[in-house]
Amino acid sequence: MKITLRSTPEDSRIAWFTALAVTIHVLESSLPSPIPGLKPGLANIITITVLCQFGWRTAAWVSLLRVLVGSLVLGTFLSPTFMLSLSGAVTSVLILWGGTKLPGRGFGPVGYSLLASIAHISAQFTCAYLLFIPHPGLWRLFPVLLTFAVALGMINGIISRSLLTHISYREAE
Amino acid sequence: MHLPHRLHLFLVLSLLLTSSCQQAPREYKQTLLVFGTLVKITLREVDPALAQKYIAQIRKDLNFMHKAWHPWKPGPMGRTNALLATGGWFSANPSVLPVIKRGIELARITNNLFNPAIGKLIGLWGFHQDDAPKGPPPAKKAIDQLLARHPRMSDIEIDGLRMRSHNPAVQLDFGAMAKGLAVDRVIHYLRSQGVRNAIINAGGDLKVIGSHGDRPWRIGIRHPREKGKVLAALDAYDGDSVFTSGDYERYYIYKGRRYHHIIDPRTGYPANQSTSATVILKDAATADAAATALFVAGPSGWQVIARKMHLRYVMLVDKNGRIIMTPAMAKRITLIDTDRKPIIIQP
Amino acid sequence: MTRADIVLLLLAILALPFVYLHYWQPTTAGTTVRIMRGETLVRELALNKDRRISVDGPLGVSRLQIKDGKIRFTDSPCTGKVGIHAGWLSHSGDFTACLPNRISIEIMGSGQYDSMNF
Repeated sequence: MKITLRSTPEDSRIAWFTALAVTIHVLESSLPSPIPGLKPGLANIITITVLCQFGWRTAAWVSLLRVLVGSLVLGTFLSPTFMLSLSGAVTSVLILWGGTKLPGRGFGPVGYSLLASIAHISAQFTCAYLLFIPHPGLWRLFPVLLTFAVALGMINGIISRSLLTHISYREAE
Repeated sequence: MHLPHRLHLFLVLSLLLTSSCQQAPREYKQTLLVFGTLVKITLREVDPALAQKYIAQIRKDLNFMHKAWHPWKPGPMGRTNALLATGGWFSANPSVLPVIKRGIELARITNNLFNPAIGKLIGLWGFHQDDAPKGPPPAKKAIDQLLARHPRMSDIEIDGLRMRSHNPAVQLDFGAMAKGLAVDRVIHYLRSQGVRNAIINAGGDLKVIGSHGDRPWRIGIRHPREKGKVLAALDAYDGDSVFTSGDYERYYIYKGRRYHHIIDPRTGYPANQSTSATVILKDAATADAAATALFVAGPSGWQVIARKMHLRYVMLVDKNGRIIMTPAMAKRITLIDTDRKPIIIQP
Repeated sequence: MTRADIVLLLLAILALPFVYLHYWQPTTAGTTVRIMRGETLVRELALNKDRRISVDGPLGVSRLQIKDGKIRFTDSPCTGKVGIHAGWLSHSGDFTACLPNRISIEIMGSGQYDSMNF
């Protein structure tokens, strides 16, 4: 018997972007981190770009698959790092879903990126506090990291925006 | 890719900064659940690896003492109690013999107000366990029967390594002294290891070595009645033991009356003239027994005990909330949150 | 950037100083309570936030309440109720326990006292 797996264009899109996001994720994880799971979140650029180009469903797939595959590649599956990544990804995907429901012109890549990075850092802190470091002193780091989340969210958003204009330019050609 | 590097550098720095604000430097704290109580150990200026080694040793020692001195569980003291009841000669276990000798001496000097020979009475009341009982109090007849047999430490005869009791009613319970003795031993061990600044707090009674850096150790004394308040504060210097006996921790209320764990060996009932008695002494075992004896003696009898034991630092809160203290105690203690003027009496 | 983007960015930047104020208050780091099961830290909580906590021990659930910078046992499955008798704790160095249930609390922080006598 022959089993045929038919992949839709969306499947290959998801696979392609996930691969890209995982690459960034893995590269990023080779940088030293003071607290496991706290990263500049450059892989989010991919999530935001996909969100703006192909919608929330595809972006959610890419984001969650990126965490799963990334952890398998790095060997951190089910470790604290993975839990933190997953909590951040799940929360930001949910917040982004809320963001897409905004009436009018809604958010652009910068807004989505900000939402995602703020959701990410808040979820990771809550997760770290509840599961691993039940010390209130941990929260003293939160404002600093939130500042960076806002700054990086903005920068990632701008990068994503320029990617998007690039993509549409190529498609228009 | 320059940004992430800088970010991480910043994160590392901020983590270091905030964590250094969090903990007082060079202080090592550990809680042990041993000796049937909570033992809080604070060590200053000790290498953390060494501190862990000391604490492991302290845990071992305290567990050993707790097992050896437990009045009714199987062990050296439990066995001693069984043999004392026979009235015959037996060879005493070396882990309990020094405890019993100290007990005899402290019972004598406190006019038997500290009386570790009334183990049966303590058992009758149920206050010999880690948990406190919930009542009702024992029958008066049962108490009177035990009292009539007058168990005293002086009933014990020691001859070298052998001992016997002339009174089969003698059953030992060192609940009012063991903690002090254990604290003394822990402090002695820490000193032998070269620790120069430490506090050992065993369930509210404590002894200190050295100081807290450039100031003495600061000790708060809980208010015996007003929950959440501090009655007094004092500075503790090298070797000071601060021990308090109070009726406010281990007790139960039965038909509106409070029954607590400090039994007056003369009446067989909880001593009812005091709410707390605090003593500062160098020797923790003596301080422990003295606090109990002063509590039992109450406002009318404490001076006799204080004189006999040469106590300089005594504070007694009586059942009406009057605060009585020796002149030396008045000089080094600060009353907090109270309008009451202490009554200062030279014993 | 869309209008929503700009509003969100401004809100985020405006909120930051308040986040710093909130989390960098000295009280947040000052007095905390350590809740232990046996000799293991279960949680360390700031005393400046009112809340109720339940902690499981070998005998059952011990309940704690934090209010106005103080903490107390409100319920514990032991007969002696020593933890409850201790009442409100707020001074650094103070501690109490429900020993049969192996749940203890200790006030941490560089307060007035190094240790508490009772």
